[in-house]
Amino acid sequence: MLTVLKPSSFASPFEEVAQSEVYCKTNRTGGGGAGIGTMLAAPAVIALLGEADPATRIRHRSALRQHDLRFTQLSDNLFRLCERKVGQKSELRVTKSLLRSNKQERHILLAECWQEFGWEGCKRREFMRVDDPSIAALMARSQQGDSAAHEAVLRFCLTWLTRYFSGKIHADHVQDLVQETLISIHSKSASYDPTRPFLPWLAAIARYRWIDRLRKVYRAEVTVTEVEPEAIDPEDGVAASISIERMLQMLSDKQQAAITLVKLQGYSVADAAEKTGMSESNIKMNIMRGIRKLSALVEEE
Amino acid sequence: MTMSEELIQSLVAQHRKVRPFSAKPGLLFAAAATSMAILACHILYGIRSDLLAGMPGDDLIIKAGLLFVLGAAALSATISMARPGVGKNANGWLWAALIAAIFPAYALFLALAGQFPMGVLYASSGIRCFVTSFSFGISIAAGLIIWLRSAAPVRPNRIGWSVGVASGAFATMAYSLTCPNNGIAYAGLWYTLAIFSTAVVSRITVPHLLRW
Repeated sequence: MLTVLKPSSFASPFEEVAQSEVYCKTNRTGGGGAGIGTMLAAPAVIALLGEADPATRIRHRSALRQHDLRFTQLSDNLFRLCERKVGQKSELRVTKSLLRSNKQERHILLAECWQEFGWEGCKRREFMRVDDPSIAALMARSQQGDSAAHEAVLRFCLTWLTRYFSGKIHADHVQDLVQETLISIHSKSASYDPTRPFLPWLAAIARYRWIDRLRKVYRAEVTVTEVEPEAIDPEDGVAASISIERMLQMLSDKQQAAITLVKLQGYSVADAAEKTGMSESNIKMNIMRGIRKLSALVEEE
Repeated sequence: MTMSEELIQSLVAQHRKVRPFSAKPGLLFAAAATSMAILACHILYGIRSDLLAGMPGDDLIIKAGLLFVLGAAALSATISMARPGVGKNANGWLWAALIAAIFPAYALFLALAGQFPMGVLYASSGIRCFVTSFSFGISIAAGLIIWLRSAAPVRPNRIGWSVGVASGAFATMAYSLTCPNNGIAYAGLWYTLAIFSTAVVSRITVPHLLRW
């Protein structure tokens, strides 16, 4: 029998590795067949995680502390790598060994996993999310000439940028913009400081390329589409602070409207003027001033 | 294979070891170039008597000190802006610029009050001050631009200003140590003109030279 709970307050060091929200406890001390593997293979069980009532959670939390049987939801690939690294066969022992390892070792382990199995291979579990120190460790290796690390960084950036730009430029331009940004990341990788977080560096380059692309987008090239809001986890403060949305919010309402309609959604200046009640020259002026202001705000949170 | 996949493969194939961008070469160059400028000014124009006596005047200390702080603050901002990063604040040098603006503000006040010493305007050392400071300033800026080629500034206009102000301030500081004129109005006119001219040239050229 498998008992699962979702105690967000657990201060497990494993959170730093896999950002997992799921902890489980088996009623057998050895874990065995009803351990991580089984749990991961049963999405229905995972779906029950949020259902446990508070009293059950408290009971399980207490039991967990008592037995120190902390498991985290890991990708199969990551688990295999962990197993190999720590030289243990039992899931329980692997987990305990990893809990004893320090923060940096765990980040490097995750980075190696990405390197070996690729981003998608590690991300298979929906709770698996990137953490900045791990990608920063990969980037540092990339600067030292490690091509596999470089590939892992680029693949991560491809996924991240596609999401970042989604809804923030006309759909016809997203792929071109992502590719341009990837080339910039590749050619300017020396400008990354390995002692600093990775995502603010990536976001600044992405914003820079985005503004550059905004200047080039013309009505004639695109068809009108409604823009979906950027998908940002409201609880993710870092993502919100480096988002394009945050930059757009710093513009005046008129500048925001003019840029959104003409540059993001593909309306003509005349249509945008009609929709907003501004004159065409006002729309053009607001676009020009807005883009100039965005250039100045490119590193602002 | 998708286009993105092809692109990643081609970028990985071209991948080589890179040396992370470092502030040290820029700092060393700025220090060396400023030292050279000080030496050159002393060779060209001689050493001031108060410096020879080992008793530099208060006005000299204040002027040179203020210019040095302005140059250092602008250089620090340049280093910060050389690397991309959301959430950085590289505006501190504007406060130093504001303090240094006391000189031109005083000169302007005198001019508006009709008390500007006209001798300053026609002083032969004024043109000499401008030409020397501007020339050294452009030379320092050129070296900094070469160093910044491996950087990735995402605010090219702003870094153009900061490179120009840093170079102009260091060059003017070098000249100020040999400047025969101690007046604030003189500094407000000729020093400001030299720094401002260097900054404008830098602002116009740097974004083109560092575009990526």
